[in-house]
Amino acid sequence: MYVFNFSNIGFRHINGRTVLQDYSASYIDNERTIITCADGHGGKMYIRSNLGSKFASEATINVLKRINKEAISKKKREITATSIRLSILCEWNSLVEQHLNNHKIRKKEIANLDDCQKFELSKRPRSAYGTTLTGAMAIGDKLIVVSIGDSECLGIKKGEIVTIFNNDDEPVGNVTYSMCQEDAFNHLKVSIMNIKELDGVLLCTDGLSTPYQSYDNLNESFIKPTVSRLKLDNDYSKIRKKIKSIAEKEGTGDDVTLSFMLFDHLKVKYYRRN
Amino acid sequence: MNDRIAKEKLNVILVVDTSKSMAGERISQVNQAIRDIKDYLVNLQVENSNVDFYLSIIQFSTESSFINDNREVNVDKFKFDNLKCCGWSNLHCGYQKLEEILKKQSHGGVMPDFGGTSPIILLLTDGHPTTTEYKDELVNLNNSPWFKAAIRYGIAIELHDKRTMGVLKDFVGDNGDVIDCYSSSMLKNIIKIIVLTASKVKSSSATVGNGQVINQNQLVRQEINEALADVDQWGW
Repeated sequence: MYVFNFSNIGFRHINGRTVLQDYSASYIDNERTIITCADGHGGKMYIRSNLGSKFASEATINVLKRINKEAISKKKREITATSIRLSILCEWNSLVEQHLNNHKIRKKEIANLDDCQKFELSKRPRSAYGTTLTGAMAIGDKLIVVSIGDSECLGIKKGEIVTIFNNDDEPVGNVTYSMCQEDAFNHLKVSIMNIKELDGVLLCTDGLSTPYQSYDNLNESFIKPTVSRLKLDNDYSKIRKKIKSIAEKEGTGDDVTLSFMLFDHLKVKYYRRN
Repeated sequence: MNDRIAKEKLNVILVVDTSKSMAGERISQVNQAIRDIKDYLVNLQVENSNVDFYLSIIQFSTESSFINDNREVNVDKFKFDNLKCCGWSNLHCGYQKLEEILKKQSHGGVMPDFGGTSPIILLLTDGHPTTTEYKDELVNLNNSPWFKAAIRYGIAIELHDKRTMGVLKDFVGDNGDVIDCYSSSMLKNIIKIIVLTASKVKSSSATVGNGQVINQNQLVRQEINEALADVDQWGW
């Protein structure tokens, strides 16, 4: 299996002297492979979103590590999916609480906020850590995928993109669901499927997807060349170089993150560009 | 995507009543406004490295259609033949066309699958719709995330009828305003103020972070209201 994760700061954040707000990770043991990808919100109020995305990633790995093959048997699948949603949110909120207890929000951090935003943060300090989250775990012959917000969870199969979640009713135009909102449980989605249904799964933040605008363009101009080159030369450094270029030069200036796992049954012939 | 800075896409959509009552001064003002808007947006696109502007013109009378059969076209390539008027005012047909394009590209619409800026939509009419079917079509439109996010303006052309003002108010909802154009000689300038102000504000903040779009729409409304307040000083 090919496993990859990488994040690169975007040129708008470099120019604005802010930090990388995306976060990604991967975890591999004898039983499972986990990848994550999270996009800390860029709005002014989200002063600790770089930590929010890191905690979202950690929470996901911690929770998915506790899932065993038995828990995703057909009978238990629904209960397990609900439990994963709840556990990830509890774990994330707990990490945020811990951090807030040890690092109170300082005046310096909120100096640029207006009174309304300051009031909002004093009421709900965890908003400071607002982030999206996507994650995937391959365990045995099953795949678990989780998602909240406008980062993408894309399956690939025989050279085509397969959308894992229906996002037709998701907000559009720079509005997104977030780990920090009160009703996050209603928007955190979990899907459990057979690995054979896909050749691989890709998670990415909008810094990568937005410049390509459409699924077709993303597939033809990025996914297919990435997959076919990797299968040919096994060189991950070229992918990191491309992501760096999108973040710092070609893209919208947002941070760019890509995580993926490609399964052994993937056939490269489907990923040659049309 | 080539080796260049990727641009955001900003759709400007005009839904124009071309029923018989719009003939004469009214439609000629609309036609001139569309030409002026095109020229302005081409310049704005050249100046602004962040945004590409796309125009969609939907005309509705007895039936509805896109100008030149183009559901959207980059302002740079936009070609325009004057709108002509005849027939009834079947607003529901216009709403159907609007709904058709306010979908993601992968679902047959013109909005991007990823990212994107909420569009600017302008509805112009001078009379009450011929049938009531527009109500059902508006329900469908209100289910579209892109319609909900769009900044929406209604222009009431020489209308002195509360019922029709209600139709326009339902269209804009909480995401825009209805402007009363009490003389058709003002129409061209009112259309231009709305489209150009909204385009300028939206294009200058097209890449703001998450959660900012609501404030952005409020900013657009504020700027438009200020521009329209100066209307008496324009010496029309």
